[in-house]
Amino acid sequence: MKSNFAITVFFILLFFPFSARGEKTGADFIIQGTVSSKTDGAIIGASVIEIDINNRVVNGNITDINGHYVLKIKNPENRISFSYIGYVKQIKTLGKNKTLNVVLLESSQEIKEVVVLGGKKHSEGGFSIPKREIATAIQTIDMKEMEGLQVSSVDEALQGRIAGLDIVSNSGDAGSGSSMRIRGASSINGSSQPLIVLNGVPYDMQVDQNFDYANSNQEQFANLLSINPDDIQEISVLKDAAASAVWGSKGANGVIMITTKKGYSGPTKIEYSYRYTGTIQPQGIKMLNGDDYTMLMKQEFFNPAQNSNASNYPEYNYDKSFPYYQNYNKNTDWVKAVTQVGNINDNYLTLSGGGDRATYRVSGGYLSENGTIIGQTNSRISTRAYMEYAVSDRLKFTTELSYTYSNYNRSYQYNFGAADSPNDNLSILGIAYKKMPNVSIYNQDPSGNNMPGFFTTPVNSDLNWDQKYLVNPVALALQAQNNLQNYRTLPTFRIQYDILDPNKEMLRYSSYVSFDINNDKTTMFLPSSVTNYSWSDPHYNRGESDDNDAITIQTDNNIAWQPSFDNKDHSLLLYESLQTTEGNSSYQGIVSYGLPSSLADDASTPGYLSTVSTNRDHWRSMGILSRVHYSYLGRYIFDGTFRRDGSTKFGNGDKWGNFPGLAVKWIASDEPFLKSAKKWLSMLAFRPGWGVAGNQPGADYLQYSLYGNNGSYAGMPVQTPVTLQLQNLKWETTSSFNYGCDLGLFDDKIQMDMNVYFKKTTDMLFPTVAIPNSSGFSSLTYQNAGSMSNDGWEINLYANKLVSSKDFSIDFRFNIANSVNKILQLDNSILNTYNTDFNYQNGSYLTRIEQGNSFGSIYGFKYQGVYQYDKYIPGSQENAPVARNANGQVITDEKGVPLPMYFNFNQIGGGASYLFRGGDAKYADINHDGNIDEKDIVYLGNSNPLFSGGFGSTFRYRNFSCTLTFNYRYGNKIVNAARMYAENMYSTNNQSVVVNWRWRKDGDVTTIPRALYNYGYNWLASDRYVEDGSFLRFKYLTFNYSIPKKILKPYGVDKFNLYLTIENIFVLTKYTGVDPEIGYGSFGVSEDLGQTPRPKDLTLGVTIGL
Amino acid sequence: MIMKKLIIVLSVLLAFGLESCNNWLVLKPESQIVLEDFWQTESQATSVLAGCYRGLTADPCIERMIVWGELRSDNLVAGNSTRNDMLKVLNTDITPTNTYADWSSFYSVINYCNTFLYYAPSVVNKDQNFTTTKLHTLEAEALTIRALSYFYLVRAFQEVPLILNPSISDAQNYLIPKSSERVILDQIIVDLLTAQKYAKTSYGTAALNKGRVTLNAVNALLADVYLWDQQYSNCVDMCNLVMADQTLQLVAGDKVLNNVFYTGNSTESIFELQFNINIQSNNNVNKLYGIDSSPLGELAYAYYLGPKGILNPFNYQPTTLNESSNDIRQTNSFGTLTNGTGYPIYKYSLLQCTENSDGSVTPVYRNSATTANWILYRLSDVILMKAEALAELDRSDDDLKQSLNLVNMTYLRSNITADSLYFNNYSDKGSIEDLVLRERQRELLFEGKRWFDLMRVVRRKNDPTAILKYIGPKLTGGAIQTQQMSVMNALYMPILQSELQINTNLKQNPFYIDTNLSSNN
Repeated sequence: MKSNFAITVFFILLFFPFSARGEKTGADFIIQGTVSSKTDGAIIGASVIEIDINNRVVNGNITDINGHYVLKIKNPENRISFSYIGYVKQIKTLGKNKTLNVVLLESSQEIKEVVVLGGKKHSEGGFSIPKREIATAIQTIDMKEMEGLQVSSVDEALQGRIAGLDIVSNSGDAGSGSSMRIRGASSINGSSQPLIVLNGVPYDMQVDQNFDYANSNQEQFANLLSINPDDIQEISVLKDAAASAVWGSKGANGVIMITTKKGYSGPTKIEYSYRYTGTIQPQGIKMLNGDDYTMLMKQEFFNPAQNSNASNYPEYNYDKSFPYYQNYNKNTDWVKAVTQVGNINDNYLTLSGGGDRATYRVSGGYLSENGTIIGQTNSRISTRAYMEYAVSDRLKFTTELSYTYSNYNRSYQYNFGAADSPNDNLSILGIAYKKMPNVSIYNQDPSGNNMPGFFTTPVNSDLNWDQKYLVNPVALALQAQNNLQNYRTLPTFRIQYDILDPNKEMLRYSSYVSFDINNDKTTMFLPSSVTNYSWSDPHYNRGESDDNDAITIQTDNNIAWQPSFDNKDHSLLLYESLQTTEGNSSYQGIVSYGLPSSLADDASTPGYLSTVSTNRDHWRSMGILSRVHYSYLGRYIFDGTFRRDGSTKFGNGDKWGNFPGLAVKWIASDEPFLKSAKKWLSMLAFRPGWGVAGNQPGADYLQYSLYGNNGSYAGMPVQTPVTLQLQNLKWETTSSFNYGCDLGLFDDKIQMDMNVYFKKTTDMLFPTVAIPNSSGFSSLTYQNAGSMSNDGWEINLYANKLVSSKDFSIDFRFNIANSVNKILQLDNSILNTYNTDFNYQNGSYLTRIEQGNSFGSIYGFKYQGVYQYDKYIPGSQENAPVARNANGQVITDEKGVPLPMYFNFNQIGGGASYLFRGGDAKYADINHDGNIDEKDIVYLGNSNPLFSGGFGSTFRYRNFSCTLTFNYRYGNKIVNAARMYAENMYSTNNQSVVVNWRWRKDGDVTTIPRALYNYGYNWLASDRYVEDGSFLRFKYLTFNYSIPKKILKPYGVDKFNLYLTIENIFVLTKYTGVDPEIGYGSFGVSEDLGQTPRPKDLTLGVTIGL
Repeated sequence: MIMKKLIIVLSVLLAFGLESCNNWLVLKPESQIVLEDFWQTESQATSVLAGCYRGLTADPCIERMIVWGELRSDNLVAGNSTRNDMLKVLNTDITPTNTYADWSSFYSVINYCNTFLYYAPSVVNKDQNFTTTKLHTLEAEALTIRALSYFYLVRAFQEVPLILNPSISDAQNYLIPKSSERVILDQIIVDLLTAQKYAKTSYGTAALNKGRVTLNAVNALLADVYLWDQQYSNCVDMCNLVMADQTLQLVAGDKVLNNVFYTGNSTESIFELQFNINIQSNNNVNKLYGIDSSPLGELAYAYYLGPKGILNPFNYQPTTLNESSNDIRQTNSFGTLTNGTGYPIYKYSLLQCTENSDGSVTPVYRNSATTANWILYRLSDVILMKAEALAELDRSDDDLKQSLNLVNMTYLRSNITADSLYFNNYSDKGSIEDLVLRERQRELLFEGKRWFDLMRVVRRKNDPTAILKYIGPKLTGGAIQTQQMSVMNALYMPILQSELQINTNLKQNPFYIDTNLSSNN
């Protein structure tokens, strides 16, 4: 309401001066003349425009076929402007003349690159300051650097280029997003994703309040995918809170600011680019073939039971009398069957240009992609229009409009079999790795030839449920549907008005209204042909349909004032802004099953309705922002920000949060006493800063105790309290100190910036905090429950034209960063909730949060190989399961009989104790009590890297350039769960070829234990599966060639570039999994669950400009 | 000039703006009502009261009524694909991580009651139609439901946190320690005595008269509480009040299965939770007791009590006497699988038993698309409570004789051809006690009562081993398990591990602290 009022008032204010001036007219009179050029004679169609003192257009006409014009003049004090595309504009005052003949000069020689040294501005909306006066930790990338790279999204482009920005792709699946962290995670359970700001407008993604950031992979909506990299001019990353305090409650995780390209005056330019990319998937774990697999199964069932009948499954027996014999005698490589060479076709067309008053840039593109997994496709249509119209030199309107439609066909995921099993939510590739390899893909005729239709394990099979319900991944990929369609429209309208003459003193009002309209539609269908469930099962012909609509409206009204001082040593910029955000979202989901056929696959088809869910949300927030930027002598700089944010998410007491920021900068190299060093020391600046940023909970209406409908009882309608009122809820705040230093050597040939920071998050928001059930509730939706710190440093180095001759130059860049996070304090209730006891199950790593430690720590047993012998014989069979004391001597009982090794001797947690045998995994008995239990669990490492970063180089020779980009991480640990499940020999899932080296008989020397079906403790969480995740990746190699203008000119072509990019050329790592770049899971532990690895790409591209 | 205007406009904006900013930042949900706007009308008050009942009909609540009230007893063994945690309870091998140590469903009901009792009085001032009299009758219902919930908790856990205030916001302290059994029982009795003053006798329709708390329901519950608390003469008084109501009539023996347990809301019913297939189906009965598509549920009648079993209450032959040899309750409560491997439960899962010409019966299962009410109290239960109280009072032979007569009331309707039981055969207190216990077992089989019946015996004797006489044959764990049963605390449930972790003021039932002992099989 209030903001509407404000807008109205400002509009009245805006038009007031015009109406006042517009009426001051003199007698009309007419002028005439000709417009010509020296070379071409009379110019036809040149514009002749009467403009007032503010360059506002009053009247206009164009020249006729003879270059002649006639114009009726409103006010003799106005000036006349003559212009024509390709010629230099001329402005004449009238005086008493009634005839004005003008000769225009060709402008071609005049368009030269205008470089104003030190004058490059950094702009955030109306707040625009010289780049060298930036006192906060900001790093900017000009997208020119990216030219020629095949990047399908912004996050890919940023990878390895910004110190302190850690980007990990969630997976290599088509259309899946990345998780990004600036300077480590500032929250344990909430979102750690930075805020994206597009042309000064926060580009918020709407996520469901139940969205689990920590554990999401494919479902994570790829936020940045809907901005086309071709449209981007520049990306700035705001790293410290002094900078991000401007964004107040949204800036706690850092801010990524994206500026898109605009149009420039001049003739219309057309640019078209096309890229083709071929992608292949790297080789993952090598799995057993059918013959080795059935051999393993025979042993796996035999070992625990010591009975050959235990493995008597017809599917493993190769018995010709078995009706399905032909289906179970194959050697199928399922991984190969579900992977393919992927490809991407990307077309993009841009038109830009403009005249004096208006400039525009319109672009549109179409991208289509086939993933490396069969059945995954992605297509995207995106358009963007940017139009700027200057009514006068003082008043300017801008319209931006972008529309993106994306259509993803993703892999279908659902729970195959029981919950909490490893078969939970498997990807296509995950199934391919687990599926028994001796089964056929297609139905077989009696002689073993493929028949139409995919083979599905019959429901009456005797196989164990994990294989029985594991679907045919090829059938699932090709027949099941999981489609996401996203429509996103972002119109933004801006107005900018200089209240005073901008050439004398800047007092500028600007304002915008921005809409973000986002619709998601998910359609899923699981046809009965893929599964073996009976017709009454909820998985039979199951359809799901979700609709998610959200609209966000943002407004900003701001005034920037730069008073002009007589003493030019002072420079001051004041800025005041009022911002509002209002959002609405609604969600509807419906799941039904037993649909009549695969042809009617929408969930709304009559069938059995399983669940219907709906959700509506409405929120608002408001921010008042004041900024001051002061510089004295251009080398003593002070920056101050104060922001006050209010949100509907909090109760009256804590509705408003204050977010201040302070930064100072001293450009020492400009001091007189360093004048002498100017030759080599072009820049030396120090910039300490401090700031506070915040975070708000992801849910609404938390401050209320809500009463909701809950069916009825005996005809009486029921309403019950459904939530606890959160009175104590506060903003999560992150305050940080940043000490930065900028260094420029040899006329900025080598530039370097260094930052050290100390970040502290207090009142950390925790979702779903358990409270005693005796309260009648199980949890508080949110609670502020502790604090943690993130301290670190970053170094960024850029060498511009390091080596340079007439035709040849080399650029080099390097960055490195480190961040250490530590939990300072946490409420006991949370520690107790999360730090559960060891459950004495295989494969479960203990993750603990402890005060004073960083999270991401991994705990487990120490693996010491395999017991070589079953019976202990001193001297000859030493490596057998017997208890040993600290000196390695065997412990014996009073009769001298060696004591055996037990697992869970005390039967804690309801499990039975287990006696180790020969061939079993050997774990370090830390306390030497002959019993492996929770007291033998030790710290195994941490998933946080010691440092990470990237480096690269660009070589240029004439019109040819070559860019290399590397990124690396060092010192992090990964739980290779994919390998764990592929080597445990515990289920009937297919296993890695490594298990061929398993222990089979007494005396075998190996590190792979024996096969035990559903028995024993051979895959306890141990350091066997915890691996060093350090890597160095050769990320991009790009060759770029632009054909010289001389050659192009005759064909009317302005630009013709060719390029070739090879992505992901190699990775140097000790990690045995497919890809060491693994995101962070819950508690910050990286767990490799075998997601689709990032592919190797080869891109060929061409850009033509007319 | 412009500057001036701007400054004026800005200051006006600021003045109006900041004040109304707060209002602009207040949004209320569209699909739910916030507390501040609730509690305005009688209908809102009634809808929260209905929520108290609704809470009781939730699956975890009914499940616990069955699990706590019956699973450890001699009535039940595992049936078909029984859940692991349920198996552990059946074998009385319960650890603090067992899901049935979770009491949250009852506390959820208690919180609804507390909320109602806290806010409903304020509605009287806001809604003219909501008179103090109306308020009192509704309060009587809420107090009774809260008392019933605490009665379940105190019987299962012995000591639990006693919470009488609603949970409203995160500013409250939720780390409430346990109260003693005495304090909880006293609170239950006080609440029920208050409810007794205001409780209605009729709501107009059969469903409401049985489905909501009536004066009879209050008295029946109070009788049960007094019996547990060994206040026997008070118990007899309460039973007399219930039995004085002429509208309560025992249903004929051969009609019980169909009228009482299938159709529901019978003339002998006092308080039964109403289920409705569209709103809330009684899923536990389907899953645990069986259904047409799966006659053997997760639970089954104990095999060693089977037709030939020596402990079978339907085949009691201490001397020449043959008690209950032809009891209709035997044929109507459970059956025998054709291969003799199990005894599926009939009560609650059958529509009726059809008698064949040769005397055998054919069970007709309830279709899974129907649902059963869950009976909390019925007349025969009250009759036998009185019988038990009189036997304990034992002020004279008259008490014992009266007790025997009461047993005969339920016994004879199910043993139409049999002679009544004579005082000569049951002339001392001990044999009457045993008879009442057997008759309660026969009458209330699978109704969530047996374990509490046995616990009363143990509590009276203050000897936990007394229970071994009944459940001994069921224990498979050997000496260790028997030994465990020698501790009184072992007969109560442990507090859920996660609850202990969060509520640091709670103390675990001492028996379960040494986890090494309790997890032995």
